[in-house]
Amino acid sequence: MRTFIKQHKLLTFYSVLVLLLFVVTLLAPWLAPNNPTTVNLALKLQGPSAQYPLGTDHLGRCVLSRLLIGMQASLGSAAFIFVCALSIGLMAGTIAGYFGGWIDYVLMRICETMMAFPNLLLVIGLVGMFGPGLKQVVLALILVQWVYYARIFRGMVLSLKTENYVKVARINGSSSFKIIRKHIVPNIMPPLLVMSTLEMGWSIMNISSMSFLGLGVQAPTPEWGMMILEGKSFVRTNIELMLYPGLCIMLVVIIFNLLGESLASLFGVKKQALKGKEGL
Amino acid sequence: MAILTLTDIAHSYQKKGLFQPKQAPVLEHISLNIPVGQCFTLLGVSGAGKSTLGNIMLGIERPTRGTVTFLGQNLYEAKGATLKQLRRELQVVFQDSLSAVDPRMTAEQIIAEPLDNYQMVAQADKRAYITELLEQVGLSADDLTKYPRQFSGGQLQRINIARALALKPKLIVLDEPISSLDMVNQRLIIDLLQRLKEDFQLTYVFITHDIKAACLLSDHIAILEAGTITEQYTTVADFIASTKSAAHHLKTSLLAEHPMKRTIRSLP
Repeated sequence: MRTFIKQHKLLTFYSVLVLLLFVVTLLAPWLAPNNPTTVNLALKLQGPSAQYPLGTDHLGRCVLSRLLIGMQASLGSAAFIFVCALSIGLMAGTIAGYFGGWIDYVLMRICETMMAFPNLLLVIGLVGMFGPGLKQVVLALILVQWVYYARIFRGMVLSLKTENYVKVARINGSSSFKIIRKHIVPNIMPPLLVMSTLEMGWSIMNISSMSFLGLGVQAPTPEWGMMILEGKSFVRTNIELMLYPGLCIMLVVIIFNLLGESLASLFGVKKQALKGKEGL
Repeated sequence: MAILTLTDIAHSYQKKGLFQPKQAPVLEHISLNIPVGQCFTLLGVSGAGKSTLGNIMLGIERPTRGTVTFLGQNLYEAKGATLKQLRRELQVVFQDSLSAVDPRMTAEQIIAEPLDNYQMVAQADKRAYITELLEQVGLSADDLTKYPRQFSGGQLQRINIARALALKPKLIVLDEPISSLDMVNQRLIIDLLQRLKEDFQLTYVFITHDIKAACLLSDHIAILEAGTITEQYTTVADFIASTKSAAHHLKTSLLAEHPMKRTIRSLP
């Protein structure tokens, strides 16, 4: 463990950062100095003070508290979307790739239909259909995202299926379920990890975009995209109202992307190391 | 007595075409009897359909036509428990030893997989049983916890052989088991296979393009040419002595890569 940390300092650093993000999200209600929805018009648009470390917005609400609580909507929903889309995609992709035939045909035609539309338009369309709100945005994003996972996993399963060890496993009596569980899923884990961290950033951006368009989180619940939308009217006088949530989105997305990159290079490096050791 | 019988096997792959999909025939009119306790060799150049025929014998690629009878049962009509019991008696060693093992498993886990599928040995005796198997193929207990990347090609092929032996099968299909090895390892593995065949009373189907290896291990040689069996010899001596076209063609075309004697032109 210690040598692993020494060898992969950056990876460890980013992992700790991501872990920290989730801890802060979970502890947000206790960390927030004020109630994020308490309106106090007498204190509107104030600068930083001891009571309000990042000042107040146009309704006199504490900006820091809103940022902290807003993480729950952004990061929490992104994690939820990721878990759901990944499970559906993993299941559909593995079944389609492994069993082939008509199941594969039906699933892949569904995926292609979904992929034929531009992503953002499809999400907006679906949210328009379901009605605005965080739950609906989350549902729409899951519906849009699982197809990409499914396609990727199907491809991986197809290439793994031709590996001799899968053939041998069949010959020596392993059931399809056992082959998928023991040989296929563990071997698509590394790319899955890389993908999932990169996709987290995408989800966070999308939730915020939807809120910015007024389709996602509804007032007064705080959310970063929503805060940017509200701050928009004060861009000439109080630009920090847009700046803080914008910076938060940027930082979180960058952290997730950097973690994804370092994971990718970790597995990439490992692969090359393997090639050197084969000695065939 | 035949352990495995192929009756009028034909196989073709679908060629994808925009307007008219075409059938590309790979195997035609193949009928074979694999006798018990012998090493039956399928000899042929690359692309003759040897491995496809091997897969058909293994029950993992349904032939377009014909039947495969193993231990008196149709391999492609058996289902459920019957099929599982048949599979137990029919194991394989593939050419590429590295791709035949899961890179995330240790040697012990690799060999344990078939054992777990059939509950061959009690959990407590498993390690001892696997160690014994490793020793049979010339490895040791130290190798139990190693991963595939820590073995050489020859050692990995031994692990593959140990795994094929684990279920004590009656028939093992050896699909080019020595082709990816160097000369020394080729000879060692051939000797090992020869010894195991007697110790475990095995029947082999040995798929190869290597005439020298075929001569060392075979009892019965069948020559596969462009998807059909052209000639069969019941002893190696017959094959070597044969001047028939297919055998002769194989011998000259394959051995030409390793000329035994060179004629040196005398200088004027």
